[in-house]
Amino acid sequence: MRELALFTLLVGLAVCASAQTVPATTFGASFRLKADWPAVDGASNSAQVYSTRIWDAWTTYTPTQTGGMKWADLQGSNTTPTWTDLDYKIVTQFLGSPPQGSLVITYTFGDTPLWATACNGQPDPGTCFPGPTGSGYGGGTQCKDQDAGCLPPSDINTDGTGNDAYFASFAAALIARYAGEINYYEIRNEADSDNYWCQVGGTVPCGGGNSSTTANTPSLQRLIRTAWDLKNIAHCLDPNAKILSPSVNTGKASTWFHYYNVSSISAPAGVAGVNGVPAGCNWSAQSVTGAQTYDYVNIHGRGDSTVPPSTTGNWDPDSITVAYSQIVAEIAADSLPNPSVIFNDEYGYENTDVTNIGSNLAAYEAYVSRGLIWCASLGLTQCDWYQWDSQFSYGLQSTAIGTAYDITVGWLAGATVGQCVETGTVYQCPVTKSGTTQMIAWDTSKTCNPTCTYGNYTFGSAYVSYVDLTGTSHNVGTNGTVSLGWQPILLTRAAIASPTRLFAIISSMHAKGKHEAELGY
Amino acid sequence: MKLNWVTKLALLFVLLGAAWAQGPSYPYSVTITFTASTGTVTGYNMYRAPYTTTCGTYAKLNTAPFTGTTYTDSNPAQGAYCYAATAVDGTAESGLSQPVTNIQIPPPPPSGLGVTLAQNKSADNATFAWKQSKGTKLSGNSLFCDGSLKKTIAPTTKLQLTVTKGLHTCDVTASAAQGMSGPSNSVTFTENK
Repeated sequence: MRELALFTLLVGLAVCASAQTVPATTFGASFRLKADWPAVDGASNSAQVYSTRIWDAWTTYTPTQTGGMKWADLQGSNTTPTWTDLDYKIVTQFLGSPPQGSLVITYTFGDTPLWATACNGQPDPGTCFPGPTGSGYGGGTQCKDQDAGCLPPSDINTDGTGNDAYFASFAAALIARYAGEINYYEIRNEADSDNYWCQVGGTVPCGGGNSSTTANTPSLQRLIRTAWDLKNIAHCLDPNAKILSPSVNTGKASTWFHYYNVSSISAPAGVAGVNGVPAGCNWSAQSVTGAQTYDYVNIHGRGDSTVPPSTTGNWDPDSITVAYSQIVAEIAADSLPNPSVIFNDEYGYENTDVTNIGSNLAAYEAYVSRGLIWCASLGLTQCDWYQWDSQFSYGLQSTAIGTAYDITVGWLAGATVGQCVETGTVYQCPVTKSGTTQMIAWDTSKTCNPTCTYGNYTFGSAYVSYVDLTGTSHNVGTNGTVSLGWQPILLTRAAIASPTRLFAIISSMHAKGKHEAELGY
Repeated sequence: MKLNWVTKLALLFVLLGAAWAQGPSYPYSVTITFTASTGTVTGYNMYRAPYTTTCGTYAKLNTAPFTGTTYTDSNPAQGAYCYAATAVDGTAESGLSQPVTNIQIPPPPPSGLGVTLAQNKSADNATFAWKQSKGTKLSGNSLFCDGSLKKTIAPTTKLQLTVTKGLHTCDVTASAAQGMSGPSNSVTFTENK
């Protein structure tokens, strides 16, 4: 019975992901370093990037990260934040010289500064910092960022009460400064991971990261409180701004994210203001669930080694469908807000995937392209590639991988993209753009590791040509036969002749008899 | 009685004439025929757009592609329209055909026509009353009796006429920019003076 229910659900998902016109803002990327700007592909063309997310972004990273954009980077002490680096990123780069004329911006909150935590002033090593000196909370592995980055602010109690002044004042200052410039705010990066927030050993299972069981007690209730305050502050200071949910990793939609959505707190009344000056908005004390703290659901829709089919890591770009199915099920199960809007503000390969993907750039071109195709086919609202200037060996800046990204976005932006259907080992995704009927296809049984393999596949005589990921056009063989492999191609079919000589007969009657009007061309 | 072929043909014309006089009943319909696509297709879609001086935004009328080269748009609302067709091959679809434009659908006919007679010394006044179809923009109403137009007036729901002696059958129509509607129900009455 359980299997039957799951099958029914998946069928329902397939129906949801029906054909739709794909806006260009679906396609974006995050940028790691200040230097990789302007964003260009391997052909020196401006990157087809229409949205971006600010997280894991620095001005420099060698030999150590400096000029970061996270909370701890911007507010190193309990004083006014320093905006120089974020100003440069947003005002000078993203809005001052965007690759495609405009850029939709998401800012992700995360990385609590040490001064705002209960571990401030505590010995290292010590109870708060049990690992070697300077190695970070939890032995250097638990907090992904700085020593206390995954700890809660000390002015929020475990049950979500407290004044939340540290975070709220920082968030208000940031939102007021970038009102009208930042479009979306994500409350905490991957809070379902103990690298960033989740309490290992708590009642709610975490995702990813390590298995440290130290005394990290951020709690879901604390997160709900900060998210609730953030939503009220943002909607007050920038009415057009929207809040994205904590980003959900593959495999955690029905566990951690479900618990977040249904957990509740008694949130106190609040007032939005900047530097102690009220902004004219306040909200009353009330019971608040996690599901009430955001406008749109947000995932990090990549594969996961614990979730099929990526049993050996995140090497399979098609496994984004697993994350999608899981989040759609959770949206339905807990009646989450705006169910047709799903953000995916981080996806792509990771360092651990490079071994499986190999060293052939063609494999990375295929990976990036297929990720984009799935974003369009599944109807995800926004997908941000992590990262254009990747920290995982194979970046897109000035490379053929970037060219494959741009070519693929050119296929998809403004097109109507239908559901990708797998027949045997061949995926086919119907695309219509500017009145031309096309088909994207690839063969999952082939590989580009270490070299690319191909097989002949026949699409029918209606197809006359195809384009590869370099943008090169080819004629198809007899009866639409092409050499198909791991890399997607875009097939174009011959135009279908329209009917002609329409002739209309209106059947009606006036008082004196039947009247037939005949008009034809 | 055995009928020869001339009698049969005459009877057929009589029957056809009766059918012609009665005509099809409201609602109206538009039947579009077209010449098939020259390529391999699995079906067709029919689109309709409002027409002013040009065709507006098209909307597909059929839920699934139809086969054959005829499509009937049943009961379109009063207005002017364009129709255009596409050919479909699987999930692929052609562009819109050249449209047929300015297809005008008249208003619905009035309903509930009734008549009352008021006696005078020499003749009776007949008062006709009817219901106008809602949501229509009309330019007038016309009263027909015994196969002739008796009077055309601005849109209304009541009309008084002096009627002559004899048996009369009357109906009323509504007119608009798109033309005259079909007839309402008819009323039959006898004037004795």
